[in-house]
Amino acid sequence: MQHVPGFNLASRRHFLESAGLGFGSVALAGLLHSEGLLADESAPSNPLAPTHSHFQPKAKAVIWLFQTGSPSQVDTFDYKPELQKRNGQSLDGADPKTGFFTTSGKCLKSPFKFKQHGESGAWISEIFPNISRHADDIAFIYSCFSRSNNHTPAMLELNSGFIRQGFPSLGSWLTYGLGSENTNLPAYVVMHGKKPRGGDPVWSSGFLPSVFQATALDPRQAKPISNLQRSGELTDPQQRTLLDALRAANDRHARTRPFDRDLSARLESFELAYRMQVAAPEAFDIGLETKQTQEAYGLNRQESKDYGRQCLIARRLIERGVRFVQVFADVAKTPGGGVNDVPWDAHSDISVNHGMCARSVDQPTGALLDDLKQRGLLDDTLVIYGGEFGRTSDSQGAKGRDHNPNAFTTWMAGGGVKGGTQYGATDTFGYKSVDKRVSAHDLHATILKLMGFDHEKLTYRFNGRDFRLTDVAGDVIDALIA
Amino acid sequence: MTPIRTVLVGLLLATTTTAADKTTTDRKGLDFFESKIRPVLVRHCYQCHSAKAAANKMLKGGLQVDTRSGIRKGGETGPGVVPGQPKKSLLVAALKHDGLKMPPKAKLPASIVADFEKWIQLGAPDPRDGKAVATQAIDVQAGKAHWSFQPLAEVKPPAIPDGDVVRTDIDRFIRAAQRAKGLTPNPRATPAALLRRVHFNMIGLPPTPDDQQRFLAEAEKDFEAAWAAEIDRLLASKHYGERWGRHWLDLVRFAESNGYAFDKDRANAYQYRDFVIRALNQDMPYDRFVRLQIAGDLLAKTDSKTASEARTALDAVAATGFLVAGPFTTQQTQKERERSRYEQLDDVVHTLGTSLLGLTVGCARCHSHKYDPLPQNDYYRFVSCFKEVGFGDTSLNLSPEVFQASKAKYDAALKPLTDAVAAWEKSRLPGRFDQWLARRPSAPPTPAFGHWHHVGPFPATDFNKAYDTAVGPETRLQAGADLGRSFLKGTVSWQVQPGWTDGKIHNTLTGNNAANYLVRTIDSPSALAVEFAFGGDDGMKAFLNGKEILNKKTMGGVKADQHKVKVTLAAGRNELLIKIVNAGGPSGFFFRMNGGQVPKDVVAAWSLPAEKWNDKQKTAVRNWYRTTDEEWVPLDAAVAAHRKTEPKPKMTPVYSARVRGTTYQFGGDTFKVYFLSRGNADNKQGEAPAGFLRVLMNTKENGQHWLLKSGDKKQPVKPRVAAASWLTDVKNGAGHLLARVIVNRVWQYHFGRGLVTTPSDFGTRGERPTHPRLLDWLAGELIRGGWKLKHLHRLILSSHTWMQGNGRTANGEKVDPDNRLWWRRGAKRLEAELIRDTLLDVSGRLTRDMFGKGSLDQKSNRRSVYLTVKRGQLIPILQLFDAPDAMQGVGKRNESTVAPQALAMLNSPFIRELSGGFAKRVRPDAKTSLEAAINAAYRMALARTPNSSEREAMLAFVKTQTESRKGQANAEELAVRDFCHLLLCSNEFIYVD
Repeated sequence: MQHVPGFNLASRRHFLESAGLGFGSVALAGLLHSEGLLADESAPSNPLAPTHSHFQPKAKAVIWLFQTGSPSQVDTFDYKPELQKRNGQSLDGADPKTGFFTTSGKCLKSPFKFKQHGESGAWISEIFPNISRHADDIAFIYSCFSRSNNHTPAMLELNSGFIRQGFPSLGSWLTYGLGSENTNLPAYVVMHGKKPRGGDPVWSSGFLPSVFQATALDPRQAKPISNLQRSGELTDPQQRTLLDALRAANDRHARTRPFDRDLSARLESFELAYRMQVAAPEAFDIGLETKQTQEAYGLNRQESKDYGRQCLIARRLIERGVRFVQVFADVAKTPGGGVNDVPWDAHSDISVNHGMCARSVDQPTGALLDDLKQRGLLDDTLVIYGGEFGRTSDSQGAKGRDHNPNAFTTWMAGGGVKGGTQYGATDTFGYKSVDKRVSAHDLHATILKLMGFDHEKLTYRFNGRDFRLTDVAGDVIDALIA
Repeated sequence: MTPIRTVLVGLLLATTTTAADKTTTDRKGLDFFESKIRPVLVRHCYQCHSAKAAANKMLKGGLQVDTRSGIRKGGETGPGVVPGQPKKSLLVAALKHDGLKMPPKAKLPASIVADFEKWIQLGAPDPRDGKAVATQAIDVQAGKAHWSFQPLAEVKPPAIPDGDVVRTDIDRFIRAAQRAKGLTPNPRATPAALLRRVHFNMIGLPPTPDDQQRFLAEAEKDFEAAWAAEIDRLLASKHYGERWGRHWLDLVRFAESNGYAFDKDRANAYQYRDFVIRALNQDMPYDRFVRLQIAGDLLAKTDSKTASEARTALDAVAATGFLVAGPFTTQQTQKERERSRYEQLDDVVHTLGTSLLGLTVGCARCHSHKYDPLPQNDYYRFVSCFKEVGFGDTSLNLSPEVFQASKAKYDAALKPLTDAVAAWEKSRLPGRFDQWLARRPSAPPTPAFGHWHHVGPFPATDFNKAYDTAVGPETRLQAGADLGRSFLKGTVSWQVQPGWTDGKIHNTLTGNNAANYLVRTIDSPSALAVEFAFGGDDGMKAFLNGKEILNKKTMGGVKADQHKVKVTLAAGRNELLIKIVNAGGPSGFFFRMNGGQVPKDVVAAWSLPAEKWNDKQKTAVRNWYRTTDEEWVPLDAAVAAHRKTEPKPKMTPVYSARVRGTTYQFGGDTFKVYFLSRGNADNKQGEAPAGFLRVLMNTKENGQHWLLKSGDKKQPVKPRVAAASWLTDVKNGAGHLLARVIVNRVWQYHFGRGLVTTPSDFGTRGERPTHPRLLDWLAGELIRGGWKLKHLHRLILSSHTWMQGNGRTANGEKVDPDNRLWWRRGAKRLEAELIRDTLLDVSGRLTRDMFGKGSLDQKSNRRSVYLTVKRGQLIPILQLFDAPDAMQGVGKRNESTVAPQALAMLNSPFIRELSGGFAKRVRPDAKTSLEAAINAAYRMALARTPNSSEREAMLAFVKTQTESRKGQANAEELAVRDFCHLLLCSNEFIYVD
C-alpha cells in the first residue's frame, strides 16, 4: 500500500470540514476515494488514529531530553585543546555582545578534563561518565546554531522553527502526521519540573487543531494529569451506569441527525476517557518498576531523582505507544548562575553549575539508553539531547560563560541514527560553528525524515498559507542516518 | 489564470550574452580571468558568496560569485556583472566601496579594482558553468483580474417562480443554485428548535424556560410576528455584543498580556474588548468600526467637554487596541530589537490583512507574494503607514461634566480668597509698608536656628507601625508647646546635637522598624516665607509649629533635597519636629533651608535710603515686605490651602496605540521603515514611503488619492488616517473587498461555513465563493444599508435558508453530499465560551454584569468574554474546547473532540459542582416530583420537554443510582445530581440544531 500523509482515512472528510484543510487535502481525499481507501465512511472519526507516513520510518517514537538553559559545548562534548592552552588570552574575533550580558573577550578554558571514548573516539567531558559509555551509539552534531541569544525565543526556535510564539512545535507536527499508537494515553507528553522559561507556548500546537497539543505535566506532583480521578460522589459502577445512560441518550439524539458524524466521535470520547482513568495512572506509576531499575535511573540520589523520574516515565510512556516525549531537564539545584527554569545557564561559574547539572542528568540519561537498548526499544526510539543554544568560549566574569547562539552541540541516538558519527565542527575555540552548520530547521528535517516524513510535504494550511515545521528551509542531514 | 508572470531573469541574461561570450572567450581573456580575477574571488568573496557558503548557511545577500551566471545575475541588489559595462556592474561599485562595500572590512587595492573593470570591459570572459536561479516579477495590473479584487458586481436577486420557499432575497440566490441541480431544501425547523438556535447564534445563551413559554405561545398565534419580534429582541439585547464581539476578538488576536517569558499584563487592554462589545451593540457602521481601529487615536478629539463626547473619544482611542494587541517581549538584547520591531509591524499588517481584507499580506515580507499580486515594495510601503505606532495607556476623563462642576465650585471658592489678598494689598499694604519703612531695621531679618535635639529610636513591630503610630514628642504636637522641655519628663530625654549641621547628610541614626525624632527652634524676626529641603532614610514626616508639613512614606537611602516644602515661619519662635522612620540598615536625615534669606535685589536696595529707590527696587522691597506682614500671611495661607484642594479630573487609562509609544527601541531608526531585502534588517534598501496595496487601488497616483487632502492645497494626510480611508473606500480603494470579507464572516458565523470557505484568504490560493453573486449582493446590501451589521443579521435570520431543518431530503445526499448548496442545516457545536456560559447559566450561577476588568479564574461567574486573556495563562476549560491562543488572528476555529474534554466533563470537580447547582434548581427540595425535575432540567439545558420514553429512561436511571446508594441519607439528591451531570455531558447540550 502506498504511504500517504495526513490523518487516518475515515476521519478525513470530517477534517476537511472542521479543521479547515484546504484544496490540497480535497485533492488528496479524491485520490483516496479513487483507491477505495475512503470507502468506510461510517467509522467513527478519530483524528488521532495511527496513520501512514511518507517513507518507511526508522523511528516510532522520540524522547527529547531538553537541557534547558543551554549547556556549554566546550565543557561537554566539543573538546577544544587550543582553548585550554590560551586560557586568559584574548579570543580572536570575540564579540562581547554575543550573549545576554557582556563578556570579557578572554579565553576561558574548561575546568573539566576530556577523554576519548568508544571505538569512535568521541571526546567527552569527565562530567558525563555514564553518557560516555554510549559514545558509539551517539551521533554528535557539533555545528548547531540558533538565531536568538535569548532563552525563550531560542527555545521556541528549537521546538517550532520560529523565534516567535504561535507556531506548532515538533511534537505537535509529529502527532499531526502520525496519530497515536495508544488511544488510552496522550500522543505527545511534555514533562518539566519548574516550567522552562517561556512556558506553555514552547510546546504549543500553534494553529494546528488542539487534538495535537502536548499534555504537559510536572511528574513531581501527586496527580500529574488533571481530571483522571473520578468524583468522590460516584463509585465505578455508578459512573459506568451514568456512561451507559449517557450513551443511550446520545444514541437517541444521533439517530435523528444522520449527517453529524462528530456526534459519534464525541460519544466514543467518553468511553476513551473512562479507559484512560485506569491506563494513564498506570503509565505514570514508577512504583511498578523494580528497585534495581529505580536506582539505575538515580531515583535514590537527591541530585538525580527528579530528572531520573522524568526519564523513567519517558521510557514507560514510549513503551505504551506514546509518540513524542519531551523532557525539560528538572535539576533541583542550580548554582553558578542557573535558575531552575533555565538550570544550565552558567553565567557565573561553569565548574559549579555544570558539575551539579551533570550530576543530575548524566546517570539517568545513561540509564535510559541502557534500558531502551536492553528492552529492544532503542532501535526505533530516537533520543535527542541538547539545549537551546551554546555558551561563549570567552568568560563572563571570572568563571562563567554567557549565551552563544553561534555554536552548540546536539546529539542523537537510536531510532535509525548512525551511532559513532561526529558531524560538523566549530572553529578552533568552539566559538562559532563553521563547518556543515546545522540550524533548527535542519534538525527538524532530519528528525521528520527518521520518523518517515518529507519535511517539505508535511504541511498545514492556515490563514491562506501552507505552513511547514521547517518554514522555507531545512536540509536533511543524511550523514546522521544509518 | 495566474496573475503572476514568472520571468526567468537570470536565464534570460545568460542566453543574450552567449554570442558575446563566444567571440570573447579567446585564450587571452580567459587567461586574464584565471590570473587576475578568479584568485581574488576565491580569496576575498567565496566565503560569503558561493555554493559552499550557501550550503553552510553563510551566503550573504543572495549573491553567488562562483559561477558565471551567478556573478552576472547578482544578488538582492541587482546584477553583479554586466559584460562590457563596468559602470553598470554592481560588483565594481562594491569593490570601490561606492554605496555597497565589499569586501566589507577593507577596500582592495586600486590595481585589483582596475583589473575587474578591465575584465568586464573585455566582456567578462568566464569559463565557470553553473545555473542561475529564476526570480519572479509581479504584474499588479494583471493581478486585478482575480475575482476578489474586482469591483462589486451590480446584482439583482434572481427571479424564482411563485410558491417556492422564498422568504428573503437571500433565498432567491440559494434556490436558484439549488433548482439548477434539482435540490429542495429542508422544511423550516420547529419553533422550539429555531428558538434555541437563534438564541445561541445571537446572544450565546440558551432561551430560558420563560423565553420558551412566551415565544411558543406567540408563535402559536402568529409565527411571523413572533419570529420578527424575537429577532428584534435579540438584536437589542446587551448580550448580542458579547456574543458577536468574541468572534471579532478571535480575528484580531486579542489578549491582555505581552506573551513571551515574562508575559507582562496589559491591565487596561480590556477597554478594547469593551469597545468591541459596545460598538456592536450600538450597531456602529462597520466602516467606522474599521476606521477607528486603524486610526482612532489620531481621529479622536480628546479634550471632551461632555460625557457623550468623552465616550466617543474613548471608543476611538480604545479601538486602536486592534493595532497593538500583538505579542511583545520585554526581555530583549540590543541585537534583537530592530528585528523584533519589524516583526511587530509585520504582526500589525498581517493581522490587518487577514482579518479585514482576507489577504496574507505578511507573506510579502521576505519576497514578493508567491501567489497573490502583492509585490514586496507594496508590503513595505503599507508597513510604513504604521511606522510611528507604539503602545501605551492613554488617559481619558470620561466624566468631564463632573470635573467641570467641581472645578467651577473650586474656582468660585477661590475667588473671594484671592480677592481678599488683592483688596488687602490695595487698601492696607501701602500704609503698612510706609509704617514699616519708617522703622526699618538696619539689616534684613534672618531667622536664627537652634541646635537639633534628638530622641529615639522608638522601635515597633514593623515599618508601617513605626511610621503610622505617633509616639513620644509626636503625641504632644500643638502649636506653642515647647517640645524640648515638655518631653524631658519622659523616660528618655532629648540629646542636643550641635554637630548636626545643615546642608549635610547625617547617617548616624539607629534602630530597625524604628522612629527617631528631631526637634529644633527657629526664631524669626518677622513672618517669613521659606523653603525647607529634607531627606530621610527611610520615610519621614515633619511638623512646623504642630502642623504636618511633610509625609513621605518612602524607602531607600537618604539624599540631599529629597523632599522640598514651602512654608511660612511665624514671627517669633517656631518649632520644627521631624520624624525619621527606618525599616532596616543605616538611617539618617538631611535638612537645610532654602530662601528665607532675603532676595538679592532687596538686600541690594536695603543699604540705600528708601528715597533713592527706583520703582523697580521699591516694588521688590514691598513684595518682599508683604510676605513678612502678619496680616498678609494668613490671607495668603488661605489661598495656598485652598489651592491644595484643586480638583483633578478622574482619568481612565486605556491601552491603545500611541504615536511613538512603547516599542523596541534601537535608536534613530526606531520609528522608520526601510525596504528590506529578503526581510532582513541588515539589508536596507532606502526608506519606504507610506503607500497601500496597488492591487486594491483604482487610481494612478500610487496612494496620493488618500495621502493628500483633496482640493488645491494638497495638504498631507497622516498615513494611518489615509490607510483607514483607503481601506473603507469602496470606489477607489479596498472597500469592496472589506465588505466582501465581513459579509462572508457573518455568513460563516451563522451557518458554520462561509460562502468562501477560506474566510481569511480571498487571494488566489483561497477557495472561490460557492455563490459569488450572493456574496456581492450581500456586500452591496451592507454598504447600501450604511454598513450596519444588524441589517445583515435580519436578512439572514429571516431567510428560509437559515431557518430550515436538518433532515434528509429526496436527493440532497446524492446530489450535494457536502451541503455546498445549503439544502440542510448542520448541528453546530457550541464554542468554548458558550459551553462555559451555558454551564454557568443552567446551574444558576451566571451573572450578567458587563464590561470592566476581567478575571483569570475559570470559576468566575461572569460570561467567558470577560475572562482575562493572558497569553501565558490561558483559561483551561476554554483551551480544552478550542479557544484560540491569541498569538495570531483566527478566522475559523478548530473544532476538536478529544478524550481530555470528556475527562473534564466527567471528573472535573468544577463540572460536578455545577451539576449540583443545576440539580438544586430543578429540584429545590424532595417535594418536587422527579418527573417535574426531569422536565425542568430538559427545558433549562436543552430548551425542550422530554418525550415520555426519555422521561422513563431518566426516571429509571435516577432510581438505579438512588438504589446503588442504599443507606445514604442523600441518595436521591445525589442521583438527581448524576442525572443533571449526565445532561451536561450529553451531545445535545453542546450541539445546536
